[in-house]
Amino acid sequence: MLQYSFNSYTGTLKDGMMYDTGKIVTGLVVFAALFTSPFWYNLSNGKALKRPDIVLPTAPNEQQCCADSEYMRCDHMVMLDEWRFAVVRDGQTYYTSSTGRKFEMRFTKTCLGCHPNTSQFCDQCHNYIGVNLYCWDCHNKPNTGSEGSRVAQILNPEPENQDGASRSPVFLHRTIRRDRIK
Amino acid sequence: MILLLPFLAILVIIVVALFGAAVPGLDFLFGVVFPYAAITVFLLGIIYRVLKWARSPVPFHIPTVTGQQKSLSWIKSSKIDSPHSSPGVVGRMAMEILLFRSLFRNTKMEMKSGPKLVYGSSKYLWLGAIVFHYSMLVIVLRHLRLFMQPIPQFVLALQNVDGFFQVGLPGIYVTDGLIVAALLFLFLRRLYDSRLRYISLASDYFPLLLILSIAVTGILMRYFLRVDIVSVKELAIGLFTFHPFIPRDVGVLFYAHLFLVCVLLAYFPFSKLMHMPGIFLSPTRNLANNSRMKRHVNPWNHPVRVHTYEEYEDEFRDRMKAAGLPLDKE
Ligand code: HEM
Repeated sequence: MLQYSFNSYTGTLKDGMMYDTGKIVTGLVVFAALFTSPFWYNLSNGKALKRPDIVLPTAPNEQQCCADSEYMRCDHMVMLDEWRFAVVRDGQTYYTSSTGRKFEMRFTKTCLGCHPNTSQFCDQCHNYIGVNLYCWDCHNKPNTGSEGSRVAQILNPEPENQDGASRSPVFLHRTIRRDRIK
Repeated sequence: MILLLPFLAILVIIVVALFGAAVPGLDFLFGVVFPYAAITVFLLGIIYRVLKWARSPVPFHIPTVTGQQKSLSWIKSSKIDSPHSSPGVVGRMAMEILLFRSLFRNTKMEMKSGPKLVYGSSKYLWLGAIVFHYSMLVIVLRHLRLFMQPIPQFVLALQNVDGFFQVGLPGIYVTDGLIVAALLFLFLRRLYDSRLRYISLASDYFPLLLILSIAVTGILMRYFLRVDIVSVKELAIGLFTFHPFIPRDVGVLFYAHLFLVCVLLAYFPFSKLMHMPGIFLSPTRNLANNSRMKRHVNPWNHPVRVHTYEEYEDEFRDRMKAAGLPLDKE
């Protein structure tokens, strides 16, 4: 049997003795490894640490977005959400930017008009920070030829045009347009 | 004062962080130096305190149990609630750590009209605690998307589950609502019950408010005053690869969030939050109830001088023999 002795001055066992040394050390090592896991995970993935590398439009007529880049960087998803509601619920078509320009509220036409290559633009940041869009669960993903789910194809009777975008808002969304509910 | 102090402390922390984010040059301090310092204090502080605990004497064998001890073979013993073996202890600890079993057994004493004293089960503390802790765990694991590159698959999966309802854009996470609700409940609980308020200290309110303000700044950043997450991730990856770097224009709110987290990490080893490692080292929970099978020695037992019967007989053998007393050894 292990005989411990006690140092009444420090309140601990004498000579650096410890109960359950094996378990304590194992526990602390596991804890430290988990807590520092981002360090060794990233360091061991050195090559994969690529920062997003987005390709910006170069044509002169594509130099002005519907909002400034500060806003777009943080809030573009809010604008898309607002557009979606304006179009499918309120039947609006145009958005007037702060500079007074009019933009048609259509992702495939307006947004992709200047940023046609989603994998060099949207996906760069989305993949980097793990944003998972579920748009393409139902809708056809533009410019890829990939097809959305069966649900969307059944509900969307209109043929695709050449750039792969459907000509009308998806039937599913149309059913909730306010003017048609009445 | 007990309530005012934590509120003031939180306010000062946020103001300091906003100041740090606004003054050019200080962003390196708040974005790099403080996080590294906080991580170091957190890690070394916890290791130091755990080692110190492990070196503290355990004078008594003190499992507190809630079941029948193992004794005679025909008496049924309770293997988990009164464990006598290591697997039993592991089971008991797992229930404690993963399910907060002892909080689940919480009872409350109340005086009803009559007057009648009633003891009843009270599960609210358990519910608040478990909702808070699991939400916090999920949120911290989800944050790995900002700290790790490439993002591990399980983090993406967790995000999808937590964002299951797909409400709004960016989508609402269930845990965000749960953690705020649970923290508010845990905070108000201390204020509402006068007996509980009486025994609550500033160091009870401060961690709750600190974590609440971390959650609120995070929620603001996601749903209301959005920041540039790509820049945040670049900053975080910089920290975690030892290539610290401050991207331009990360929002001020982010610095408030980060500084609050730094304070939490640095405060942790000195606070009641040490119950996280402490639960593993609780003698009332992690000792087997085997005091009838194994001898537990108090480490500060003074060596006692004893006079055994053999020595007694040696000393008085002649006189005992003369008196005709029976002897063990002739
Ligand atoms: C104890 C640690 C932390 C807690 C409890 C916490 C809590 C939260 C919460 C509740 C949110 C709301 C959105 C969500 O749930 O994802 C959030 C968002 C956020 N947090 Fe934290 N946080 C912590 C640490 C950190 C750290 C260390 C960083 C950066 C280095 C960070 C950066 C962010 C960012 C950028 C957001 C916005 C995310 C988005 O918009 O999707 N957090 N945080």
